[in-house]
Amino acid sequence: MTGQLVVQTILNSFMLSGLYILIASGLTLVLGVIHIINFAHGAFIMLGAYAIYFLSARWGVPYLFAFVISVFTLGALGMVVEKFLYHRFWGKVLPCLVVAVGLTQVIQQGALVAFGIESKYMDSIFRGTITFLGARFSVERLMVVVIASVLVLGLLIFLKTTKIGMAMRAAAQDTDAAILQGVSISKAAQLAMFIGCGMAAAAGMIIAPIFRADAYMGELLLTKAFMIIIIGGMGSLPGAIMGGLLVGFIDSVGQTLIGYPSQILLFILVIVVLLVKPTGLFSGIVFTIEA
Amino acid sequence: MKKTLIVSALVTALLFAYPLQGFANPTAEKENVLVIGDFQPLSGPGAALGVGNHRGVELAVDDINAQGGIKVGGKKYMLKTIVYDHKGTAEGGVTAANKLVFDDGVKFIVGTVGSGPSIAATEAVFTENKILFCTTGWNPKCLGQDRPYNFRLHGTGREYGTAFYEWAAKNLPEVKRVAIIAVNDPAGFAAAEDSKAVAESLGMTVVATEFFERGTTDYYPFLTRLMAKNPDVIDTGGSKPDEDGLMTKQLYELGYKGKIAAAGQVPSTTLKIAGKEASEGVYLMQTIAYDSPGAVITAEQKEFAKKYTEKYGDPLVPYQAEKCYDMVIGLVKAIENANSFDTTVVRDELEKTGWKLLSGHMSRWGGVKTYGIRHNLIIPIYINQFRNGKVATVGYAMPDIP
Repeated sequence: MTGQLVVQTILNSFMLSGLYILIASGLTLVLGVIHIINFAHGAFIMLGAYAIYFLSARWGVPYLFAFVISVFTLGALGMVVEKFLYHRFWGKVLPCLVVAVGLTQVIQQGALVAFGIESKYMDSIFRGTITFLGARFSVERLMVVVIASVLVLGLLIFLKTTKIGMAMRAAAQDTDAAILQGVSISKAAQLAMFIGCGMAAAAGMIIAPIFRADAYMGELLLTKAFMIIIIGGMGSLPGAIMGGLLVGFIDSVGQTLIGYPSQILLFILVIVVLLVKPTGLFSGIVFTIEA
Repeated sequence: MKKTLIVSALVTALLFAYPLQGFANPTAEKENVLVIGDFQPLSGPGAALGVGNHRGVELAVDDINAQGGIKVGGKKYMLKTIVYDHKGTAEGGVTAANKLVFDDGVKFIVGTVGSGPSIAATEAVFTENKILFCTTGWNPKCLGQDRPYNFRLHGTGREYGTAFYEWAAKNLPEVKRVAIIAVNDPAGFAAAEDSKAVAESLGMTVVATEFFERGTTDYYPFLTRLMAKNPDVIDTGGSKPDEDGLMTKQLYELGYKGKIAAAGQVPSTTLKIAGKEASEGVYLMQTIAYDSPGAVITAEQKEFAKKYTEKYGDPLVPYQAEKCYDMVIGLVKAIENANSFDTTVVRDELEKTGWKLLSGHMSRWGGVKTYGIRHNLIIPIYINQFRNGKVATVGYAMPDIP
């Protein structure tokens, strides 16, 4: 491996890691607070991508404005989903799985009907490329790293410093104790879904100009996010960050060194973590299946 | 109670309406309608090509109907076409084939993009039920003596690769090192193998071959590996239009300065995804420029392109659409000559029927030695290049398929 190839590979891994962290953070937050695996998380990524395509590329709404509007709207949709669908299944893995998978199907098929079967492509928002130690990287990929960092850092600060953030952490750590301390679990759950779905939508919005928007685009990303939270620890935000960095790096280095078969490495890692430390590398929650 | 009754009535109506839809479909040859079936990737990375191909079938059906349909057994038949989405997958191919054959009663199928769906549908449904199937699938398994009702309506990687690399050997003497990237499915394997064989036979060196999973959108790792081998040309010829576009865009971002030999089956899609700047100079092996100065284009081809653009609003017409058009015309002529809808009789007639292609050539079948059966239509191949956001034809070849 030449020096330039090493730099290029590391640069490539930054975008993947940023994207994965953004998606996994939202997923793990919902999991931590509501104890529900939001299988519809991928569908929100897709809705974000379509939102930015229609608002920005088709109707000419400025990208930043469209971004903010979409994050809030889709975050609010997440709250609606929590209130009317997930609320009654808190902590029940199997019923919630069925509901979430069904919801995903409805959203995906709805997108096919509403937006058509062809993938949607839009022009780059952040044009140009940068050269670093001989390696090249597009500015729009760099912006994935920047936007993901800002959002995840913002979430960390919010959870650490605000009263409602601390209430959410308390709810995630011990629901009963949090209730006794006067924390409204319903509000914490609503907020977790708002943030989680908003972050998923943000992920869709930053990758749509780089790749495309299509009805199934969230599936592979959701699989990666699951791997990340298993590796990092379910419900653990630091786990999602470290897991995202690790998976992004393995994806990029593995694919550059050995090509597509490198995907097996990730599955091996997940199996090893489950066998050796089922709570994940950063001590998340161990779930029991309650039908 | 009232609400429950209404919901129950609606559900019951839906349950009954679905199967009835199948009975309501005009079965082939009933009610004086001949159905030409089609199954294409109408979603996913091959969608642009699948949609384009089916438009070729539709335009042929329109033209034949405008001339009063066809006459078989003393009766007049109008044509109709049905298309299903196989999503580019083998399982999607089998599902669509079952619908076409058993729900719609289709006996004649034209146009399918994708070796995986073509092979799976052939093996699971078509051969056993003697369905006459005209595919565009590249893999050698799409044709053969053990699948005697299959025909291929355009070239494969062998023909397109030969045309491009022979042209490159003469016109681009600096091209010595070739890198190939293709999808890891039967069509991709065949394309990579064909390009490698042809390039090496002309004294070029294949420095790297990469396969990616269908649905991949981030090609940076693959392209980084390829670029590290310093190729003079990167051959993406076994890819679908969306894949072509994303790879062209990402190669530009990565600062690749060499040549790109893309499939370019739907140039408008490549251009839309990659943009004018990144597409500049990219060679397109599987398309045609109907308005390129100096290109060998007939008036009939221009007329076809005009109709396509007028009906679908796309100025860049995919070449495979023209071939699908040609195939429907030839198939219908064979049915009329055979004066029968029996696929065995029609197949025998199609093997000896000659018709004029839009390119002005008389149809010829080849492939006994190459593909095990003389069922591969021999078509002219155009070498094209993106120049200033337009497609220009720079070379032309008539392949030999022994």
